[in-house]
Amino acid sequence: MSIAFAKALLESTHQRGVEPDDLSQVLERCEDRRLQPGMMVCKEKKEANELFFLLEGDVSVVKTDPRGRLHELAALSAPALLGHMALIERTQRSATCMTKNPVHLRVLERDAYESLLKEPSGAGRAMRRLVLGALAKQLASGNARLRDLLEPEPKNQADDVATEGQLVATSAALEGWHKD
Amino acid sequence: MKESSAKVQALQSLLMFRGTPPSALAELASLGKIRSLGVGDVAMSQGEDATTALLILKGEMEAVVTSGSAERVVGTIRAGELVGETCLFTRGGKRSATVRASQPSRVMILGPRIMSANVNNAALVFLEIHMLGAMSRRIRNTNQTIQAFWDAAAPAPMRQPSGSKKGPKSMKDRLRAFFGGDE
Repeated sequence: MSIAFAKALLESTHQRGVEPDDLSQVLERCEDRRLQPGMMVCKEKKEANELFFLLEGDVSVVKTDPRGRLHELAALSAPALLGHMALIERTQRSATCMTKNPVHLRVLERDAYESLLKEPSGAGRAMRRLVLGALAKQLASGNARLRDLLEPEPKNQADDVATEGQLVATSAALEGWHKD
Repeated sequence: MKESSAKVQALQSLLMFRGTPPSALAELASLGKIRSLGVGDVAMSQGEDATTALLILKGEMEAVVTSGSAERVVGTIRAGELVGETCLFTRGGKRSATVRASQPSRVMILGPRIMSANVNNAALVFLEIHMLGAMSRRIRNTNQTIQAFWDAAAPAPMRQPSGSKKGPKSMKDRLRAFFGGDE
């Protein structure tokens, strides 16, 4: 299971410089967790001590905007990496993830994650490069959206509601809640 | 041999590699090229294919974004910092800014070969951890700027001072002004 997922995740993310066997070793250090539809994977504004590998199923990502309105940002499907930003930044969760159907996760605790990052081993390299690849994509996607937003356009065509939506999407892309 | 030793010395001077075994730095040094730049020399050009990153060993660079005829300095990169590293982990990207020397500088050019360093190489571990911190800070800073804009602008439409002939500014106009672009 681990090696098949590792290969699928690396293929779907076009990740460079990571061997499936090494990523599989990371997954072996994770806790196995299965959730029923409608259950919470992580909650916005709560403390973050886990990183999630989504092995099977789909997750809905919901975020509250600064005016308190809820936005469904994305539906993430396996294979995917979830919840790494709050772990890296030691911040609260920036969005809520709810299961849309039966979900199978591998969960990596903060201590194991931080230890892996410093490890001069294949598993350590896999962890570092997986996160680096995710961050690089987030930056590219977020910056591209921001550039589009800042592009000049004909007068009287700027719509505040649409701009607010684009801002939420840009912020979400930067936080890694969009799957391109 | 002399060049290799100079590269290792240059890497040893960076904070991120303090205490790293010279053998690990020598391997890392063998995977990158050194380039010297005079003030104004361009190391990366906006719009070109992105295939390499720069590790600044000495001096200072500036990142400049050109939009139409306007040019805007969007960042300064100092010794010990990296620029353009996202391309090492993604494919098909383009440079989003031009990077040029604002002081006489020396840089190490890091290409995809860097990924092939020995898995046990401590220098590469430190470099990757450094990149991870740099990328997450950049994400945080951009997001905080978006948040600051939102906090300042979202609650109520900002209007021109009384007497102005212009109507209320759109959120997009305010966004452009906030990020320093043309309105």
